Amino acid sequence: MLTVKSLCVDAQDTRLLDDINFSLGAGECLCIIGESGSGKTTLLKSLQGMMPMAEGSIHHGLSDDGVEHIYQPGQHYLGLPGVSWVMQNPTAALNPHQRVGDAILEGLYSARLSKSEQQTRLRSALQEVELSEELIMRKPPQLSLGQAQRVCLARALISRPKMIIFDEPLSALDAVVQKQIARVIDEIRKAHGLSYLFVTHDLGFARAYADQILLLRNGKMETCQRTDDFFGNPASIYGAELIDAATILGALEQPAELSEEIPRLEAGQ
Amino acid sequence: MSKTNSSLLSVRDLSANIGRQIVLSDISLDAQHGECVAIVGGSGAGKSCLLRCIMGLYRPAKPTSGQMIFADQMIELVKDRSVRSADLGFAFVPQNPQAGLDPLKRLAVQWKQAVRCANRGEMSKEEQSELLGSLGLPDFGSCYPHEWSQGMQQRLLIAFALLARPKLLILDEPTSALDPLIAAQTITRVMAHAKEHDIATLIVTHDLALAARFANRLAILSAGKIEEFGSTAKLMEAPGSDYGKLLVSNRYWAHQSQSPERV
Repeated sequence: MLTVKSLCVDAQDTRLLDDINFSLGAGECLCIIGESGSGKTTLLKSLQGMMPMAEGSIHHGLSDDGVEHIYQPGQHYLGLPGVSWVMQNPTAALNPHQRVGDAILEGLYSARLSKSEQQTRLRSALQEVELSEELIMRKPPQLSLGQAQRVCLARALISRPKMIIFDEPLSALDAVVQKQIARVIDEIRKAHGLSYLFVTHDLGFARAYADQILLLRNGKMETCQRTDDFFGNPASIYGAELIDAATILGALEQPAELSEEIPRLEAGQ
Repeated sequence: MSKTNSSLLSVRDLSANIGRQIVLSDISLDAQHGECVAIVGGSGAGKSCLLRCIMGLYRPAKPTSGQMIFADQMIELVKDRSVRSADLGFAFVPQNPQAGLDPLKRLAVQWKQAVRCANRGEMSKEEQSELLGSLGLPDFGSCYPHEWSQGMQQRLLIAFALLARPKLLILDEPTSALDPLIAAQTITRVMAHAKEHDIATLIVTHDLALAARFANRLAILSAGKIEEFGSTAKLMEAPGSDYGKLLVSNRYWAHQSQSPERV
């Protein structure tokens, strides 16, 4: 469905991403994990054509004609067809002066549809994200953060994509709302067989919902493993450290017995 | 020696308004010497307002009633408008490390200032470098704040806070700005230091799983009211309030069987 082969991205003389490989099947969820500055957002941008590739190729089989398109360095495009994007901060992603209904309909910008068809799509999108129809006349400042993120999700869904890219959609929300939105996101994936590319900090989320985990560090791919393999037997030391850290922070269920020993701090981290 | 049965901090019937809107009503809290108390609540519950009222920062929320006893000293929250200083034994670490550092001054200068203000030369050079080392901070060199990572800045602020040998350390969302790896290292370090030096800690977070790992007691805050206040083990096992139940059932990422309730 989407295969990325030895993708590299440069900015001037610096290599931002080095040799990224992964393959995402239909209906799968791939979680991209990495610290700030590790290249998560760069990877998403280069997939969408917002940053030029230096090397590698993207094989994209999502379009309606079923033909696999291959994108290579030097080719200019903006946005892979059939892919929507949900951002990190819902309040920044919505125009505060635009009514919610109009904001969601912006997702249909490039699709030529009749007014009535647009309204049907709007209603079904609202239903899927579990928002009431009364909200469409409101403006974003009148929404809670959770509602605003649902609106962003509806905007991504209304064009009926095959794949959605999520850039930390839950990190601006509080713990309870995070879990409600996560459930909605997962139900939508199951209902439509969508593929997800999901950037997150939260290993707990990754363990509960991801099929594959891609771990980035300093622009290099540490590992790309099935979720069970990653948590059972991480292929990189950094991955194992992350799992330990998440256990200490209580993010993972059934924490393993913790030693009383405090993890050593490296100067300069 | 820890004085286990005496309260260090005790807040009684604190209410606060922003304009005419009531944001906190009848908050009562207490913390023993050396104890870790966590305040857990969703966004907009009033967690940060509560902290700011305790610290004497009366903007945007202004107390309308309430007293506070800190280390056997009575503080009338409405009348006493002074900021609780390090002299009293308070230390506060803001959520956003950038809010606490001057971007135009070298770190070494800021550290020297902090040392001078905090303990009037009581702490020797060795002790200072031990404190910095225990938090995993390197030499300042000639660095400015932006040359350090968020995690390092956050830990430096914690070091600032610990310099004055506080009795109460207040942490506002200590892990939200950090990567999990650094967050885990930082918080275990700080908690160990607090235990060693008998410092009480007040942690504010929205993450119950995190709070439950470190706190002796939990206060659950929802819409400006304390829903529950009790020992962590008891509260995690049998939450009494509806919001407590919601938090406890949602503390981990749900597997398919449990579906979170809607608010």
